[in-house]
Amino acid sequence: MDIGTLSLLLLVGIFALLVMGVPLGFATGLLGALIIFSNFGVPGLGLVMQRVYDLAITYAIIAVPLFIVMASLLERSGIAKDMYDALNRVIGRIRGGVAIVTTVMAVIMAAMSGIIGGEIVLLGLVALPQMLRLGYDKHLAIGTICAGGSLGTMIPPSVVLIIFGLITETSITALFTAAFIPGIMLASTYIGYIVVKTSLNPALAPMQTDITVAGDALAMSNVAPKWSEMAYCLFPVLVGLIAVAYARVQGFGGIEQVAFFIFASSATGLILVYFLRADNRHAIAKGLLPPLIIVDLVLGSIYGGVTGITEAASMGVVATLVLITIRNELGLVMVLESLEQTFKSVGTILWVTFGATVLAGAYSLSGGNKYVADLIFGLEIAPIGIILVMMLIFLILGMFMDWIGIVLLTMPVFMPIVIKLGYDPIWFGILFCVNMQVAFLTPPFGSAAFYLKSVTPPEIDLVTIYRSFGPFIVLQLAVLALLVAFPEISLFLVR
Amino acid sequence: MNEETKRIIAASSVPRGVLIWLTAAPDNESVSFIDRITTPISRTVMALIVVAVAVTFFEVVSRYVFRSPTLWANELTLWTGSVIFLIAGVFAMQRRSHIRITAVYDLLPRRLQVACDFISTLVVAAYATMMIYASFNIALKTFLSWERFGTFWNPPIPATIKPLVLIATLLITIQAINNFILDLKRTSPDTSFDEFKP
Repeated sequence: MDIGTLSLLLLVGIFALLVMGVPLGFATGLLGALIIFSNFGVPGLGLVMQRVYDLAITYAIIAVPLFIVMASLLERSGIAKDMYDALNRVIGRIRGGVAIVTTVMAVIMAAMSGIIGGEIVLLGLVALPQMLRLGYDKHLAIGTICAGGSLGTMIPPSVVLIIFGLITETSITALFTAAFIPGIMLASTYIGYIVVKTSLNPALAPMQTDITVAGDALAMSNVAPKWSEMAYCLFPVLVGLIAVAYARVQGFGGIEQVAFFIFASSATGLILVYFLRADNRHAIAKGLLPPLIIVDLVLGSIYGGVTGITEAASMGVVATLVLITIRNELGLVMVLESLEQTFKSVGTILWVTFGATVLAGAYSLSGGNKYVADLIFGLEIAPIGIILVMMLIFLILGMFMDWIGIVLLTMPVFMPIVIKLGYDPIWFGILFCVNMQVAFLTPPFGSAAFYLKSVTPPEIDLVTIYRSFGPFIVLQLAVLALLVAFPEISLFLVR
Repeated sequence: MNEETKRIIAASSVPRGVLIWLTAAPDNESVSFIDRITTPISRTVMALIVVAVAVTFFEVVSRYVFRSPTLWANELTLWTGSVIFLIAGVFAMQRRSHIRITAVYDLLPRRLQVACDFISTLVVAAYATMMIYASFNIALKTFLSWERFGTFWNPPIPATIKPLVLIATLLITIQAINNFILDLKRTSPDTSFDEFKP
């Protein structure tokens, strides 16, 4: 069979199987096996097990279960709720403040976890009732939560970037470094939008002082925070993060020194949390210190070059367990539930990756990648046009498919083309990641909406949720355009 | 875990609680004896996540605090990791959470849904058959010759993991057939335990 016919059959086959609801990992695996069988017969089929085996013994993927278990432990503790209350006291008192707090909280949580579902569910449970009670516009509230919550897969550590790095053989640490500024850019545009929108139309976000509601959380947030109190509590963590920044500017001479600063600052932070645990005067520090310790330890170790991704993730899990123990929340049920949730997510992510790697291997062995590349180069479009077409494909697929399906089905074919065109794979990875931010929000199957729907009151239906996303999708596309136009935004930290 | 099991576990000591959890019934509404076999297997293997965390953390501490990096930590993590990845597929199938597109499926009448489920099961079975048929002898040979990893610590990773790839795929297929038969009797697929289902 010639490769053109094969490619067409493959496309039709995948489409037909997916429409019928066949699990993606097995649909791709079977098609891959069939391609190998038709080209190389039974002896070639040994490749199927070999590819699954090779992927199963890759060190970097072990970071995936570790980051997920850390996120699911955090979800089950009160750490997020306390951080929310603390942030509310610090910045909740300005116009639109609670929405801004929600975005800031989303960013900090994104810097602790690499997945999307749990973060949106948590924000939906903690922030949404608060905003609705204060009389915020529900579209603004919902949009903020889902757009912010999706940042979990954009701001490092991110499972999307880990899988992208594995599939395309790009450095995951470099991807993490490059994703930082675009992630913050997205968050800043959300905050900017909230500020502008609520100052133009104050009715969208009533001030906490405009209305009197009984409830201690609200009453508390009317007391101005003492900056000095925050400063000395946040100091240890800042030491660690500044050390990393310094190390990056100076080049990596003294890994040992950076390691010392990060470990010492995290340990100091943990000790502070321990001594503050029964003290009611330091609500802000108690709320902000735990998440910042984890960010300091995990991102500090990765960015500082102290440890690899997997080791940083394991330190994050241990730090989370220590924090939960200090808070006196640790319980067997919580740990077992986290393990079950993690195991299920790992199974779905890994087995779809196994199937796709079989298909990708079979297709490229049969000359498929070269065929598609020749086809695209034959079109004689400008290189940037090809990139734009690829992103259009991501956006369309993103309406119907999870990010993992898209990265696994498209990257083995797209990446060689991107490299051949002379573009930086890291940059393309960041563009992909932003595309997936849009994909989480676009109907009919934006997963962010489904995650939020699972915890909202019944009167908020899916149509309302999707309608709230419009402005945020526009903001995401604007950031995407900037990143396409100026690759340096993503790349200057990497070089 | 249902609420009753959670309450009992919370009231027990840790070893006893873990034991109750290992043997507790699966969370699905429809359960067969196959679910009762695969669930304890999955729960045993997911406990290895704790081992992976502990070993990796130990390696960081011994490298930076005691300045004596271990020779075995990375490979042990690799080994536990691969077992976790493979058996997690069985658990995901038991929880019916493998990624699939349900856009059209959800709109279909129940009879056509069953037809789609049949095709899905067939796809899983065909994939497994092709993989196992082609690699059974290789995997058996690797196991019998106890092939090692070829490093200083030299754990038998190929000897154990290559057969495990086939075993996990077989278990997934059995689970898929089991799911299909259980769902035949229902008016809708069993997704009772899916926490994010709207």
